[in-house]
Amino acid sequence: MTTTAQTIMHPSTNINDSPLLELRNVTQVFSSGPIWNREHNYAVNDVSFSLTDKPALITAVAGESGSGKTTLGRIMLGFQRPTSGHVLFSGRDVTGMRGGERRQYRRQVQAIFQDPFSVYNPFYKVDHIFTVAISRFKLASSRDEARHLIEEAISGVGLRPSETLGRYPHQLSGGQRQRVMVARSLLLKPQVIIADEPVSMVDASLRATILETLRTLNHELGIAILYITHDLTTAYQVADNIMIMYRGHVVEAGDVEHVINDPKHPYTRLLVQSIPMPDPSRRWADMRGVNDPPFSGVEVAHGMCPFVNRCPDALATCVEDIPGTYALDEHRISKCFLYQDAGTVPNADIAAYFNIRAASPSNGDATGNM
Amino acid sequence: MAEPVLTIRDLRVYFNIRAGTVRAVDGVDLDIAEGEKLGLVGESGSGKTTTALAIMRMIKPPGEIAGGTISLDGRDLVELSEPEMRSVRGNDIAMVPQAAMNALNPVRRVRDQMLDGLRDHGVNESRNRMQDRLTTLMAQVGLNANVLDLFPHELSGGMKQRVTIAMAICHNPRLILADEPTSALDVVVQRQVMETLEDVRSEIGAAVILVGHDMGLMAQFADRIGVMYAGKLVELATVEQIFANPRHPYTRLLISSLPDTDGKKRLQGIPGLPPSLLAVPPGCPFMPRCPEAMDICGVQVPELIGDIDIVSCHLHTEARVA
Repeated sequence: MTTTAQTIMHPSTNINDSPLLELRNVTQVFSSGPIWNREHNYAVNDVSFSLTDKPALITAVAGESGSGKTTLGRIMLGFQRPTSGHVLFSGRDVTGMRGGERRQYRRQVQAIFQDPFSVYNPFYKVDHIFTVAISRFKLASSRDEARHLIEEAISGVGLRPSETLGRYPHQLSGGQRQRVMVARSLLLKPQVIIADEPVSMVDASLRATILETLRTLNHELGIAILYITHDLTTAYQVADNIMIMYRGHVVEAGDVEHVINDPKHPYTRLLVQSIPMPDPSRRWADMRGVNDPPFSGVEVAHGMCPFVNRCPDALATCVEDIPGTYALDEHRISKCFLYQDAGTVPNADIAAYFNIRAASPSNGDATGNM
Repeated sequence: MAEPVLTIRDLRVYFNIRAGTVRAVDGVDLDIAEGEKLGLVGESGSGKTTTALAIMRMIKPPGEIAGGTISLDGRDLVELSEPEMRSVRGNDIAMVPQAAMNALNPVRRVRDQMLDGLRDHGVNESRNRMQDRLTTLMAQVGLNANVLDLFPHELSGGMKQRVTIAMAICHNPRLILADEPTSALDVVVQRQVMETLEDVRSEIGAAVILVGHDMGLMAQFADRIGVMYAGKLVELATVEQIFANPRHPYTRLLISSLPDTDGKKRLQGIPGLPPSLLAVPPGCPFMPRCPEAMDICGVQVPELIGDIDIVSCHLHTEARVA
């Protein structure tokens, strides 16, 4: 270890070693347009956040399209080098990683993507995605051992190896294909899984099964999971903590129970009110015409609250400055001037405010026997 | 029940492919009342979109309407000639497509595309009158008139979907078919688009068939819900009955697999896969996945029981009394 592997002390925990995967003041700017009139889009705006395995939790990142949630995931996967800030894996900056160290990072941080169709090469049988991983990371010394590992991983996600292996991707359903991707992650026994909208293209009846599999991986194998989604109901069911993103800012974060059932940031409130609840007696409240945003005509620029033009509670300060991050209580932060009396948190790791799951919720029979 | 706008009887849509005949829709009966909001739910491949396309007579080869009737105000659409059907589309029945970005022409301004839709159905008025019509349509869907001068890529997803709603209502249709109109939108925009659809629907008094798999959206929007499985309608009831008292085991499992925000629970999926529509097994198509299957289910197709509140399951031999 070199001296760069310094750790940030967490206010609420006493972890002396580094978190598994950490973002430090990460900003990602996408620039477009001609050089005399560049437009700068802050996809991720000064986010510090970490995933640990002590204990391994499921953290949701939610927000609308364009909120930066996918970019955040890509940065954590090392697909994208941030404009500024650092990504650290076990305390080491991933940008400087080479050779074996980089391979280790690649293995320990696995991805599950949204589209279970385009991740497969249609010319290869599904076995291919397993055999490539096994030879790349030298997981098995013989064919039999490889076969055994593959079958174990496939059974682990509730599929039958005999009905899955030897088939081409088009012979499997979307739900099966997505579970094969989860099985591939499982084969590598990673420390972190970054799942970007893993169920948004899967039928509702299969969503539950895939999400339950992710939950089992977390609870039983201690894999830390970042669950990126636009669906607050699945985030609520699966995750321990949640970060709500809006235009690159983490506008609210904390324990999922509190954030969803008692949202504080006006954007989170709007999101929660818009959830189509599967209950005809709880229909959307009619919000047309009420609470018109006072600054609806304002063109949002860098240097003001990103939500100001849609916010029904906007104040004059909101167009003059970016709100700080305020700690509402020990498990909740919000980036909104309404809560500035609570006091700014030093721009430290958001995960310090996460609630640590006391005991696994009723998953004693989580067998994944679907 | 009010006089039905559309009556579907024994609709069958088959796709004749090399491997055999895919029975995508196999004997569907459906009545849609004046101004009613009907939700049609089911997994991918259950036949819900095919049913909607059949109503528009937009089934493409190798698919064909193999039988049944679709009557709109007493006229059987299946029997109409193509020119007659062309005038029904848009004028009487309109469609709000799933992917608004693919439904709009990327190289033409919104104004020109909307004018096409009007002129194509014989509306040819003075420039000013047409302009007024477009401005009114835009206002109806909550868009500013200057959107007319923009290209589709300059619009957000929600705005594009509103433009397609404006196009759908421009001839005051009796029936609007909306096929997952908000599946690509995030929750806030989804709510706004659905509210827009509801506003214009009640304004012109049209009936809506909302096709989709999101039971949450159905609960928010629909008056009645029809549940499709393997090309058949297996349950049809009011939205309240479906959620409070589902009778078909498939409906029950579909509802219990939904995540909500009232306490964490173990998420329960529906085990197994729907049958291949090339060779639907004898008996009830849901039998292999049904937790309550009985011997008879593997032998005999359950009959549709009921009049308004319909179920097709051997567990139910008597119609529900209201």
